[in-house]
Amino acid sequence: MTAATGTEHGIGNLAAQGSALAGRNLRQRANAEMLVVFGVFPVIFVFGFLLLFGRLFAERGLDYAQFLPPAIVAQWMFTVANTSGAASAADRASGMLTRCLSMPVNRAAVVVGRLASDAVWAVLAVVVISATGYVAGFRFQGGALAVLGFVLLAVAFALTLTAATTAVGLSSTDPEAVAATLNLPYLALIMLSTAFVPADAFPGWLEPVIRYSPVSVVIEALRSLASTTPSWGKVWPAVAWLAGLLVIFSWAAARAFRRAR
Amino acid sequence: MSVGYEASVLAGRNLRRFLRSPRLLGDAITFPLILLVLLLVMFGEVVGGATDEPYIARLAPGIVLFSVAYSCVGTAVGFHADVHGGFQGRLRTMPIARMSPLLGRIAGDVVKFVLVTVVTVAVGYLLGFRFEQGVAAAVGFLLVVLLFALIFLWLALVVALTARSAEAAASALNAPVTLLLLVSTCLVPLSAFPGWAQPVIRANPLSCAHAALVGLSSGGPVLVPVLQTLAWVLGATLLLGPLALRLSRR
Repeated sequence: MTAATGTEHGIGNLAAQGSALAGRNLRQRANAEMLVVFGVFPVIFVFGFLLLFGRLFAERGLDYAQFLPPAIVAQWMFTVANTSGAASAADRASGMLTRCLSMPVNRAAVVVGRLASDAVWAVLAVVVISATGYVAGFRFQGGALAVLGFVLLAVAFALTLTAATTAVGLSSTDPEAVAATLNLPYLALIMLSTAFVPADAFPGWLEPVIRYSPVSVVIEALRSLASTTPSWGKVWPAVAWLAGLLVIFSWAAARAFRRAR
Repeated sequence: MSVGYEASVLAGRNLRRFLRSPRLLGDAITFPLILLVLLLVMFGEVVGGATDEPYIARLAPGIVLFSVAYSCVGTAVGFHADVHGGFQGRLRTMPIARMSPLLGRIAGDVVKFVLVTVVTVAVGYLLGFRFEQGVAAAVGFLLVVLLFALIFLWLALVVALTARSAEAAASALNAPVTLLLLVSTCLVPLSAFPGWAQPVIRANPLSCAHAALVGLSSGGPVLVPVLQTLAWVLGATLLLGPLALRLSRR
């Protein structure tokens, strides 16, 4: 047991140590692969899906260029969370986690550092996708406050998902296995939502599932915030879902964190 | 010993590694099935409603081709591990043909593709996909898939031999292959694309092979798309084959 050195407690220590760890997390992943994932892939997805479905949906009276970017944003929030889960497993495997816990460091700094670096990736993704969308014809039509809400909701979505992937990541020491495990629910959740296709285009028996999926609720809220008439009625269900899920996922993550030592 | 024998020994080794890894096997089989079911549910009404054919007749061949193309990511990662894990170095000290390790990798993967094709088609059958052109056409279907796979196998070998890490190899292939799927006729008909993009969509190797597979299953022109696919395969083999061989000598 290390003697207390006075650097474990207090909000100042937490902020300083958290930001130091966040910086480390960001530097560690600032490589060519992440550039492809955050710089090239979103562009491919936005334009690829537009090419694919732009015309088909125009015939149904849907402006796909306005419809699609919020969905790509949600998709990338999953990517942020999934890579974060794999990184947690890697930190546990490499001894980084044990090292942090053995030093006179605020425990919560590990968590804060992870969340802060994920938030940076999430904001980056939102900016890249919105800019790509802008070229394709997507517009924020609801004013500055709605844009802020859009970014905050997207980041909140990413961090809620991160809590879940952290729980998975910290119960494993194999980052590849974590990535593979997380891929399946991600694909199912994003495809079985209103991300790429509106709910009424799904088979009737599946429609309620699609409509009430929390992923759809968040995406519809993002769409509403980007539209000419942002409506609180669309946003509050998303906030409620995220708050509820965050409680459950944080509890699971905290449990995995205690057991990971 | 002949190149054929050496390659088959190495192919057997690669195949056993695949069959004995529950995760690799599971990924190879579940990935196409999940895509097939989810995309059918997602796009069946939108795309199927815009054409007179059932959507599964388009989607099942498309998913077979995409799974085969996408599995080149796994091939590249596995081959990269062989090159950097010392296995290739070991082989090089042995009195075997230079070509054998490359051919062994390709032959082992071809068996994997047969498996993926059979499973995907079987599930496609449950969802309404049918071979309406007879048994010979069904065999032709499989042959076109295997020929098509060669394009991406050569690509995977070249990428694996040049990439600095396994992750770099995977991410170098991931984006282009996904893009190729999106800009092909595997998911929506050619007429759904804007006019300026149509020549590009039509020339995409996935579109060529897809047209051939649809012709061999539901019906339609076969000869021209098969010849186009062959042209892609020949081009890839003549260009990437010698390149892979040269890179593997370094």
